[in-house]
Amino acid sequence: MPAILLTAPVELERPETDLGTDLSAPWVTIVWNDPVNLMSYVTYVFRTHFGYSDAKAEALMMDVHAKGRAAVSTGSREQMERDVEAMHEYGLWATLQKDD
Amino acid sequence: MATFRRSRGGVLSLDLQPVEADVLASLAREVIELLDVPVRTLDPLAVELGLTDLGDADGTVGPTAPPEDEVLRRLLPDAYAATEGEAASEFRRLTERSLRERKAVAARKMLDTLEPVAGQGGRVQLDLAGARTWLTALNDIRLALGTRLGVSEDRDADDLAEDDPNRYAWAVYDFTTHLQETLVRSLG
Repeated sequence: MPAILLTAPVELERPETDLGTDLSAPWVTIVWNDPVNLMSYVTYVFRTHFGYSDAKAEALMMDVHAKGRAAVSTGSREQMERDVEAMHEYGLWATLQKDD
Repeated sequence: MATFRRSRGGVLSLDLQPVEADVLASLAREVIELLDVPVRTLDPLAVELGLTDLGDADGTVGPTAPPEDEVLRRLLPDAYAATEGEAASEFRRLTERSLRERKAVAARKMLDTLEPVAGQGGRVQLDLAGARTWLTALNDIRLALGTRLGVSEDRDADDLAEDDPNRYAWAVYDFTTHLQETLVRSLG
């Protein structure tokens, strides 16, 4: 089949930056809605990664779907960074931020 | 259309037509190529042991800027909001390379399980670990296809014109969606 995904290679820059770690809790992991991820898959990820019940995972998924976003976990910045990285590995669109 | 089914002993099976097997293999190959990771890092054991994540001699471990390509940006998104550019760059510097590797390894494993049915079709059988790998690899494929096609929430397949140049890609996208849906359902 013809290549439909490939385009020109990307040049990656690697400047070094430094960032102090803010230890004040809590932070939240936000999952954002996107038109590709299946509702069943998003629910599966919430059950599998966070160990949430079917009902909680499904409610969070519906929040993402209907409201465009949902806070799916809370904790230290480091924990939320791990959650966000895991969400990215699953292919969900997630960010972390300080809880307002 | 090929559909995942649960069989005895928790094994999942998928009967693929030759063309279906080839399409999936070629998509997995494209994702691997797109992720552009060094070949040595496609060794699952090395990735598991963290041997590939040791960084460069100058102390930097990865890029700080998001990829230019839209598909890669979707596969490797920022971890912080746009207002937190510095935190996003630092997080990317420390994690992007290993995320690329883990995604490439998942696609590689998917490709390996397709190897026996390449060109002729046949049955693919997956244990639980294999099913989970396929699930994320299929999702990356769908994200890539969906991004290229500009998928939106209210898309209607019937809207597509007969002569739409993306007709083939849409059919492939729908096929991968069907596969992932039946795979999630089979996992219960």
